[in-house]
Amino acid sequence: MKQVLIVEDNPMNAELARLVLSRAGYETAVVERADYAMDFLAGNRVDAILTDISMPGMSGKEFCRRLHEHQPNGCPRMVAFTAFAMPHQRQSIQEAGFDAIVVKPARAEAILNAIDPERNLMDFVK
Amino acid sequence: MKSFATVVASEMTRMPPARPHTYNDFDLAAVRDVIGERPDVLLELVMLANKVGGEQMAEVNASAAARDLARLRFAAHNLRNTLTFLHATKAMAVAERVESLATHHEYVIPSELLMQLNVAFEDVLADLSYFFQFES
Repeated sequence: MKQVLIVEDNPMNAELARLVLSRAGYETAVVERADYAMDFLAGNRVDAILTDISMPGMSGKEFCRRLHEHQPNGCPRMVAFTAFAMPHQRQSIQEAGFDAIVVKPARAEAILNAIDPERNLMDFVK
Repeated sequence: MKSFATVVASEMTRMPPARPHTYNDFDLAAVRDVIGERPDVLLELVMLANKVGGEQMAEVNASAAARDLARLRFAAHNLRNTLTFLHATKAMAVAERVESLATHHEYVIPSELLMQLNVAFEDVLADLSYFFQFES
Protein backbone atom coordinates (compact mmCIF):
# COMPACT_ATOMS: atom_id res chain seq x y z
CA MET A 1 0.00 0.00 0.00
CA LYS A 2 1.34 3.44 -0.91
CA GLN A 3 1.92 5.88 1.90
CA VAL A 4 1.12 9.57 1.81
CA LEU A 5 2.14 12.20 4.35
CA ILE A 6 -0.30 15.12 4.64
CA VAL A 7 1.18 18.34 6.02
CA GLU A 8 -1.69 20.73 6.76
CA ASP A 9 -2.54 22.93 9.73
CA ASN A 10 -6.21 23.42 8.89
CA PRO A 11 -8.34 20.55 10.24
CA MET A 12 -10.94 20.67 7.42
CA ASN A 13 -8.37 20.49 4.66
CA ALA A 14 -6.36 17.83 6.47
CA GLU A 15 -9.42 15.67 7.05
CA LEU A 16 -10.68 16.10 3.48
CA ALA A 17 -7.33 14.93 2.13
CA ARG A 18 -7.03 12.12 4.68
CA LEU A 19 -10.50 10.73 4.00
CA VAL A 20 -10.18 10.95 0.22
CA LEU A 21 -6.77 9.27 0.20
CA SER A 22 -7.54 6.62 2.80
CA ARG A 23 -10.82 5.65 1.08
CA ALA A 24 -8.87 5.28 -2.16
CA GLY A 25 -6.56 2.78 -0.46
CA TYR A 26 -3.62 4.90 0.64
CA GLU A 27 -2.06 4.72 4.07
CA THR A 28 -1.97 8.26 5.44
CA ALA A 29 -0.30 10.23 8.21
CA VAL A 30 -1.13 13.82 9.07
CA VAL A 31 1.12 16.43 10.69
CA GLU A 32 0.31 20.11 11.23
CA ARG A 33 3.64 21.69 10.44
CA ALA A 34 6.57 21.22 8.09
CA ASP A 35 9.10 20.87 10.90
CA TYR A 36 7.01 18.04 12.36
CA ALA A 37 7.04 16.49 8.88
CA MET A 38 10.86 16.62 8.81
CA ASP A 39 10.90 14.76 12.13
CA PHE A 40 8.38 12.22 10.82
CA LEU A 41 10.42 11.62 7.65
CA ALA A 42 13.56 10.97 9.67
CA GLY A 43 12.00 7.69 10.77
CA ASN A 44 9.45 6.89 8.08
CA ARG A 45 9.42 6.38 4.33
CA VAL A 46 6.54 7.76 2.24
CA ASP A 47 5.72 7.62 -1.46
CA ALA A 48 4.15 11.08 -1.70
CA ILE A 49 3.72 14.24 0.35
CA LEU A 50 0.72 16.55 0.09
CA THR A 51 1.65 19.80 1.79
CA ASP A 52 0.07 23.14 2.50
CA ILE A 53 2.21 26.12 1.47
CA SER A 54 1.24 28.79 4.01
CA MET A 55 1.75 27.31 7.48
CA PRO A 56 3.05 28.53 10.82
CA GLY A 57 6.84 28.08 10.95
CA MET A 58 8.50 26.60 7.88
CA SER A 59 6.57 27.21 4.64
CA GLY A 60 5.67 24.40 2.25
CA LYS A 61 8.12 25.78 -0.31
CA GLU A 62 11.01 25.79 2.16
CA PHE A 63 10.04 22.28 3.25
CA CYS A 64 10.17 21.09 -0.37
CA ARG A 65 13.56 22.72 -1.00
CA ARG A 66 15.02 21.12 2.13
CA LEU A 67 13.74 17.69 1.18
CA HIS A 68 15.34 17.95 -2.25
CA GLU A 69 18.62 18.96 -0.60
CA HIS A 70 18.54 16.07 1.83
CA GLN A 71 17.21 13.45 -0.55
CA PRO A 72 18.36 14.49 -4.06
CA ASN A 73 17.81 11.03 -5.53
CA GLY A 74 14.96 9.68 -3.49
CA CYS A 75 12.59 12.55 -2.80
CA PRO A 76 8.95 11.44 -2.59
CA ARG A 77 6.44 12.86 -5.05
CA MET A 78 5.77 16.41 -3.81
CA VAL A 79 2.30 17.89 -4.18
CA ALA A 80 1.51 21.46 -3.10
CA PHE A 81 -1.95 21.89 -1.53
CA THR A 82 -2.64 25.59 -1.71
CA ALA A 83 -5.06 28.43 -2.27
CA PHE A 84 -2.32 30.32 -4.16
CA ALA A 85 -3.56 30.03 -7.72
CA MET A 86 -2.12 33.09 -9.48
CA PRO A 87 0.38 32.31 -12.29
CA HIS A 88 3.36 33.87 -10.49
CA GLN A 89 2.47 31.99 -7.31
CA ARG A 90 2.23 28.70 -9.20
CA GLN A 91 5.57 29.36 -10.85
CA SER A 92 7.25 30.01 -7.52
CA ILE A 93 5.77 26.76 -6.16
CA GLN A 94 7.05 24.80 -9.16
CA GLU A 95 10.49 26.38 -8.78
CA ALA A 96 10.63 25.10 -5.20
CA GLY A 97 10.60 21.57 -6.65
CA PHE A 98 6.99 20.45 -6.50
CA ASP A 99 5.76 17.80 -8.94
CA ALA A 100 2.11 18.92 -8.88
CA ILE A 101 -0.17 21.59 -7.44
CA VAL A 102 -3.69 21.09 -6.07
CA VAL A 103 -5.59 24.35 -5.67
CA LYS A 104 -8.04 24.70 -2.76
CA PRO A 105 -10.93 24.21 -2.54
CA ALA A 106 -9.92 20.94 -4.11
CA ARG A 107 -12.04 18.24 -5.63
CA ALA A 108 -11.38 14.68 -4.48
CA GLU A 109 -10.33 13.62 -7.97
CA ALA A 110 -7.81 16.49 -8.18
CA ILE A 111 -6.11 15.28 -5.00
CA LEU A 112 -5.99 11.67 -6.20
CA ASN A 113 -4.78 12.62 -9.65
CA ALA A 114 -1.99 14.78 -8.25
CA ILE A 115 -0.78 12.08 -5.89
CA ASP A 116 -0.74 9.43 -8.63
CA PRO A 117 -1.67 10.56 -12.14
CA GLU A 118 -1.71 6.96 -13.39
CA ARG A 119 -4.07 5.62 -10.78
CA ASN A 120 -7.62 4.71 -11.65
CA LEU A 121 -9.87 7.30 -10.00
CA MET A 122 -12.62 4.73 -9.74
CA ASP A 123 -10.72 3.27 -6.76
CA PHE A 124 -12.24 6.06 -4.72
CA VAL A 125 -15.80 5.48 -5.86
CA LYS A 126 -17.69 2.81 -3.96
CA MET B 1 -58.31 5.14 19.59
CA LYS B 2 -56.22 7.86 17.95
CA SER B 3 -58.09 10.81 16.58
CA PHE B 4 -57.68 11.65 12.91
CA ALA B 5 -55.80 14.80 13.84
CA THR B 6 -53.32 12.82 15.96
CA VAL B 7 -52.70 10.33 13.17
CA VAL B 8 -52.22 13.09 10.61
CA ALA B 9 -49.85 14.97 12.92
CA SER B 10 -47.73 11.87 13.57
CA GLU B 11 -47.61 11.06 9.86
CA MET B 12 -46.57 14.61 9.08
CA THR B 13 -43.58 14.41 11.43
CA ARG B 14 -42.30 11.46 9.40
CA MET B 15 -42.99 12.94 6.01
CA PRO B 16 -40.27 14.78 4.08
CA PRO B 17 -40.93 18.45 3.43
CA ALA B 18 -43.46 19.07 0.66
CA ARG B 19 -41.21 21.45 -1.26
CA PRO B 20 -37.47 21.17 -1.93
CA HIS B 21 -35.60 22.83 0.91
CA THR B 22 -33.60 25.94 0.12
CA TYR B 23 -30.50 26.32 2.22
CA ASN B 24 -29.61 29.77 3.55
CA ASP B 25 -25.89 29.49 3.03
CA PHE B 26 -24.78 25.91 2.39
CA ASP B 27 -24.28 24.66 -1.15
CA LEU B 28 -24.82 20.94 -0.75
CA ALA B 29 -24.58 20.31 -4.50
CA ALA B 30 -21.20 22.04 -4.66
CA VAL B 31 -19.89 20.07 -1.68
CA ARG B 32 -21.13 16.83 -3.26
CA ASP B 33 -19.35 17.82 -6.45
CA VAL B 34 -16.08 18.21 -4.53
CA ILE B 35 -16.37 14.91 -2.68
CA GLY B 36 -17.59 12.76 -5.55
CA GLU B 37 -19.71 9.65 -5.14
CA ARG B 38 -18.92 9.01 -1.50
CA PRO B 39 -21.85 9.86 0.81
CA ASP B 40 -19.91 8.45 3.78
CA VAL B 41 -17.05 10.89 3.18
CA LEU B 42 -19.54 13.73 2.67
CA LEU B 43 -21.25 13.00 5.98
CA GLU B 44 -17.99 12.73 7.92
CA LEU B 45 -16.70 16.01 6.53
CA VAL B 46 -19.94 17.92 7.12
CA MET B 47 -20.00 16.58 10.69
CA LEU B 48 -16.42 17.77 11.15
CA ALA B 49 -17.26 21.18 9.65
CA ASN B 50 -20.17 21.46 12.08
CA LYS B 51 -17.91 20.65 15.03
CA VAL B 52 -14.79 22.65 14.16
CA GLY B 53 -16.82 25.54 12.74
CA GLY B 54 -18.46 26.04 16.14
CA GLU B 55 -15.08 25.95 17.86
CA GLN B 56 -13.61 28.37 15.34
CA MET B 57 -16.52 30.81 15.71
CA ALA B 58 -16.04 30.75 19.51
CA GLU B 59 -12.31 31.39 19.02
CA VAL B 60 -13.08 34.39 16.75
CA ASN B 61 -15.32 35.86 19.44
CA ALA B 62 -12.82 35.19 22.25
CA SER B 63 -9.84 36.63 20.38
CA ALA B 64 -11.84 39.72 19.32
CA ALA B 65 -12.90 40.27 22.95
CA ALA B 66 -9.24 39.95 24.00
CA ARG B 67 -8.21 42.34 21.16
CA ASP B 68 -5.55 39.82 20.17
CA LEU B 69 -5.17 40.54 16.46
CA ALA B 70 -2.75 37.74 15.60
CA ARG B 71 -5.04 35.22 17.26
CA LEU B 72 -8.12 36.77 15.63
CA ARG B 73 -6.54 36.66 12.19
CA PHE B 74 -5.70 32.98 12.57
CA ALA B 75 -9.16 32.17 13.99
CA ALA B 76 -10.99 34.03 11.20
CA HIS B 77 -8.75 32.40 8.60
CA ASN B 78 -9.55 28.93 9.92
CA LEU B 79 -13.27 29.68 10.09
CA ARG B 80 -13.18 31.01 6.54
CA ASN B 81 -11.50 27.79 5.43
CA THR B 82 -14.28 25.70 6.97
CA LEU B 83 -16.95 27.93 5.42
CA THR B 84 -15.19 27.60 2.07
CA PHE B 85 -15.53 23.84 2.29
CA LEU B 86 -19.29 24.27 2.90
CA HIS B 87 -19.49 26.78 0.03
CA ALA B 88 -21.16 29.10 2.55
CA THR B 89 -20.42 32.21 0.52
CA LYS B 90 -22.24 34.80 2.64
CA ALA B 91 -20.60 33.82 5.93
CA MET B 92 -17.30 33.28 4.15
CA ALA B 93 -17.28 36.87 2.87
CA VAL B 94 -17.84 38.23 6.39
CA ALA B 95 -15.11 36.00 7.85
CA GLU B 96 -12.77 37.20 5.11
CA ARG B 97 -13.53 40.82 6.05
CA VAL B 98 -12.73 40.13 9.73
CA GLU B 99 -9.51 38.36 8.72
CA SER B 100 -8.54 41.27 6.50
CA LEU B 101 -9.13 43.87 9.24
CA ALA B 102 -7.10 41.83 11.71
CA THR B 103 -4.31 41.40 9.15
CA HIS B 104 -4.13 45.12 8.55
CA HIS B 105 -3.93 45.83 12.27
CA GLU B 106 -7.26 47.51 12.78
CA TYR B 107 -7.30 47.63 16.55
CA VAL B 108 -11.05 47.76 16.84
CA ILE B 109 -13.04 45.20 14.91
CA PRO B 110 -16.53 46.73 14.50
CA SER B 111 -18.97 44.94 16.78
CA GLU B 112 -21.56 45.10 13.96
CA LEU B 113 -19.22 43.04 11.78
CA LEU B 114 -18.73 40.42 14.47
CA MET B 115 -22.49 40.33 15.02
CA GLN B 116 -22.97 39.91 11.28
CA LEU B 117 -20.51 37.00 11.27
CA ASN B 118 -22.26 35.32 14.21
CA VAL B 119 -25.67 35.70 12.53
CA ALA B 120 -24.33 34.40 9.20
CA PHE B 121 -22.74 31.46 10.99
CA GLU B 122 -26.03 30.69 12.78
CA ASP B 123 -27.66 30.43 9.34
CA VAL B 124 -25.03 27.91 8.30
CA LEU B 125 -25.58 25.91 11.48
CA ALA B 126 -29.34 25.88 10.80
CA ASP B 127 -28.61 24.55 7.32
CA LEU B 128 -26.36 21.83 8.68
CA SER B 129 -29.01 20.88 11.21
CA TYR B 130 -31.49 20.42 8.34
CA PHE B 131 -28.91 18.41 6.41
CA PHE B 132 -28.30 16.04 9.33
CA GLN B 133 -32.02 15.63 9.92
CA PHE B 134 -33.23 15.09 6.37
CA GLU B 135 -30.44 14.63 3.87
CA SER B 136 -27.66 12.61 5.49
